[in-house]
Amino acid sequence: MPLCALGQALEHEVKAAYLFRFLSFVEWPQSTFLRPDSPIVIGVLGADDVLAELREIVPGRVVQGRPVAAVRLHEGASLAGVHVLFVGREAGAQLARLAPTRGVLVVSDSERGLDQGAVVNFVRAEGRVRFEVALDAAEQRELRISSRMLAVASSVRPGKL
Amino acid sequence: MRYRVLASLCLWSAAAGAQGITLAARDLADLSLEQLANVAVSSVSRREEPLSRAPASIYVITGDDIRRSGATSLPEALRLAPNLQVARVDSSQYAITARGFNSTTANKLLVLIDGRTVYTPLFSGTFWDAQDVLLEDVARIEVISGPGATLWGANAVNGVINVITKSAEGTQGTLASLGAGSQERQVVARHGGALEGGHYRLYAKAAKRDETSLPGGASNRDQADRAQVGFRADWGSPAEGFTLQGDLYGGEIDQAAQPREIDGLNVLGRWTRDYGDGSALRVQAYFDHTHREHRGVFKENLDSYDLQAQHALKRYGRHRLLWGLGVRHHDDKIENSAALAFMPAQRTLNEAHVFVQDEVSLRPGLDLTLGAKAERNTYTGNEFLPNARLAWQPTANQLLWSAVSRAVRAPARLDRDLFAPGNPPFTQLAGGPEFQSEVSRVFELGYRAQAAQNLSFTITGFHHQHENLRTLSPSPAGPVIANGLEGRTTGIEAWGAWRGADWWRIEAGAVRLDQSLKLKPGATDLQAQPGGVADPESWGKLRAAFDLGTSRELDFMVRYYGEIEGRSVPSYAALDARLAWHPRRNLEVSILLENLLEARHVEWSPGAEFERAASLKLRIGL
Repeated sequence: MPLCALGQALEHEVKAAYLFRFLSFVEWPQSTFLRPDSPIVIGVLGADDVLAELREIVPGRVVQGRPVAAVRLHEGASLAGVHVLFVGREAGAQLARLAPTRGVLVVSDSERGLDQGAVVNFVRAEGRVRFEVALDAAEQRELRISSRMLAVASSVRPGKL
Repeated sequence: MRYRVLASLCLWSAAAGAQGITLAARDLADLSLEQLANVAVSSVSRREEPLSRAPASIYVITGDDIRRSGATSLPEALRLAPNLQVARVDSSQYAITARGFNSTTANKLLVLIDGRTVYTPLFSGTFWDAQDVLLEDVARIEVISGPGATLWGANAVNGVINVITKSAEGTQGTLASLGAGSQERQVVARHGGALEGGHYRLYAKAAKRDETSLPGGASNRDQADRAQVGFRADWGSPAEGFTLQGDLYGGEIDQAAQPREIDGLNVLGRWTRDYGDGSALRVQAYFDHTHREHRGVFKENLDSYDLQAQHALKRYGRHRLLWGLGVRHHDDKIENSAALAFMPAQRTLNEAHVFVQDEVSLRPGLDLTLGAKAERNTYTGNEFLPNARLAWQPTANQLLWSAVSRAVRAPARLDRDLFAPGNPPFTQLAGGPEFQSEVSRVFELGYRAQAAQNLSFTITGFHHQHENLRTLSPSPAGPVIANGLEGRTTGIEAWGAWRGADWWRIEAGAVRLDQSLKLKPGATDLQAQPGGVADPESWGKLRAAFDLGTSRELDFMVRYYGEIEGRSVPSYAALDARLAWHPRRNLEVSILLENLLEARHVEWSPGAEFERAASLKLRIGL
C-alpha cells in the first residue's frame, strides 16, 4: 500500500528517471563508444511520453564522464550507436524480433519482457514501478550490471558466470 | 522541470497537505534507484504540486542519506539535518533542538514517529535514550524548523521532526545487519512478508554502547544496553488503507550512582481513505506506555491514549480546506524519592484540539494559507495557535514565502508539579502554580530555488519574539518556577545541494542565531544563564557523497559547532568518513571512521568527551 511512499509521480516520469539512473550502474564494452567523450545514447521505441521526459532530464547531464542523449527510434531502425534501448509497451511486439545486439541494454515494459530477450523489464507492483533483471541476457550482450542495481531489482534471473 | 511530488496520499500529507511535503528540490532523476522504487505512481495525475512549494523551512533526510551516514540511532541520523542542533551528552543522552533553547530537557521541538507524538508530558520534550526506530525502515525524516503549531499543536514552537517509516510493502524479504566498533555493537534483523490483502514486517534491534569518558579521562559510567522489537502491517489500496504498527523496547543505562531503566510499548492503528477527487480522510489512534526509573531519583509509569482525525476537502473554487480534531489522555504515575517529588504524584492530563486551514489560490503562482488551531490542556485551558503563510512562485524554479505564526509551549509537569527535595520544606525548587504557557510570535521569510539542474538551495530568515519564558524566581520559601523572561531569537538558516556529476554530490548548510533574552521588569532568575538557555551562535554541516565505480561509495561528513558560551563548551569540528563496498547483490560492507579531526571533543556540558572511533558494518539482504 503505497500510502506513504517517497511521494507520488506519474508512471512515465518514474520510468524515464529509472532509464537515466540505470546509466550509472552499467558497464558497456569500451568499443561501443567511438571516442572517450562520445555520449551514452538512450533510444526509445514506442513510448513518446517517456522520451519527452528523458529529453527534459538529459541536457547537461554527465554520466561516467559522458554526456547523455535521448533519441526516438522507429521500427526496424539500426541499433548502431545505441546503448540503451527502451521498448515501450506499445512496441512490445517488436521485442521478440530484435536480435541480441552486443552492448545494447534492452529495457522492456511488458509482462514477458525478459522471456523475449530484454535485460531489464519494468514491472508495476502495487502502485510502484520496480524492475527485474536478466543476467544471462546481460552477459550475452557483454554488459556488466552493478550489484547495487541488482540489489534494488525486484527479481534477478541468474547468469551463467 | 515538470516533476511533481504529490503529497496528497502520503501519510503526513493529510497533516501536511497544505504544507506540501517536498523533496528538498531534488527531482526524480536525482533520486537513487532505491528511492525510485519507493515512489508511488498513478497513471492519472491527481493533485499536482509543483516541486518545492512548501512555504516553510523543511529539510528532508532520506533513507538513503541515513544509510550513507552510517548512523545507528535516531539522534545520530538527525545530525544530517542542517537546521537542527544535535549535541551528544553521553552514551545515550542527547540535547536536540532547532533555532535555539537547547538542553537535555529541550521543550520547543515536537517529534513524531509515524504520527505518534513521542514527547513526554513530564517536560514537553523527548527522552532520546528511549526513542528509537529501525533506521533501515525509515523512508524519510522531515525536519521543519520554525513553528508548526497550527497543524501539530503546542510544543511545535521551534520545529517539528516527522520520522516516517516505509510501508510494510516496501520492506519485503529478510535483512540482517551487524555492526561492531570501538564504542558500540549492534545487531539488527528484519523480515517482511505478504498477508491476505497486504504486507507485514517484523524487526528486532539490539545495541550495546560502551561507557564514555569525562573530560580529564575519568569513566562516565554510562554503559548502555538497549533492545527493541516491532512490527508493521499495511492492508488495502491507495484508495483505502489500514495500518497497524507497534514497538516494544527496553534498556538499562548506567548513570554513575543513578542507573536508569527504561521500557515501553506502543500500538498505533491508522485508516486512510482517498476519494480520488482531492479529498481524503485519515483517522488514527494509538496507545503508548513508557516506564522509566532513575534509581534513587524517581520512577514514572506513563500511559498515553491519542485519537485524531483529519479531513482534506476537495478543492472548492480557490479554496482547499483541511480540518481535523483530536483528543489525548495521559495517565502519569510517579514514585517520588527523597531527592525530588512530583505533586500530585499521579496526574491525569487531557488535551483536545480542533484546527482548520484554508489554502487560497490568489492567482496562479500566489497562494495564501490561513490556519488556526484551538487546543485545550489541563494546565492553562484554551490556547489559540494561528498562522498565515504566503507563497509566491515567480517562476517554476523559485519560491519566495513568508509566514507569521503564534506558537505556545504549554506547561509540563516539570513546570507545575516538580518539587525538591522530596519532602517539605521545598528549599531547592518548587513548581510554579501560576506558571503559564511560553508564547512565541514568529516571523519568517524564505527563498528556495532550483538554480540549475544540478544546483538547489534554500535560505530562511526568522525572528521569534518570546514571552513568558521559564525562570527560577526566588521566594521566601525557596526558588519557584515562573515566567520571568522575554526576548527574541533572530537568525538565518541556509542549505543547498550541488550534484557535480552523476557520481558525486555535495550538500552544505549553516545556521546563524542571535539570541537576546532579558528579565521582565521586577523578575529575577536564579539560573546561571537567563532561562538556563545556552546555544552556539552558529553551526554548519557539509556532506560529500561519491559513488566510486559501480560498487563502492565514499562519504564525508563534516560538522562545526560554535562555542556554547553559557555552558563552557568550546567550538568543535568533527569529520566522519564512510567507505562502503557492495561485493555482490544485497551485501554491503562498510567502514565508518568518526571524529577524525580532533583527538577528543565535548558537545555538551556537563557531558562526555568523544574520541576518534571506528566501526565495521555488514548488511545482508536475503
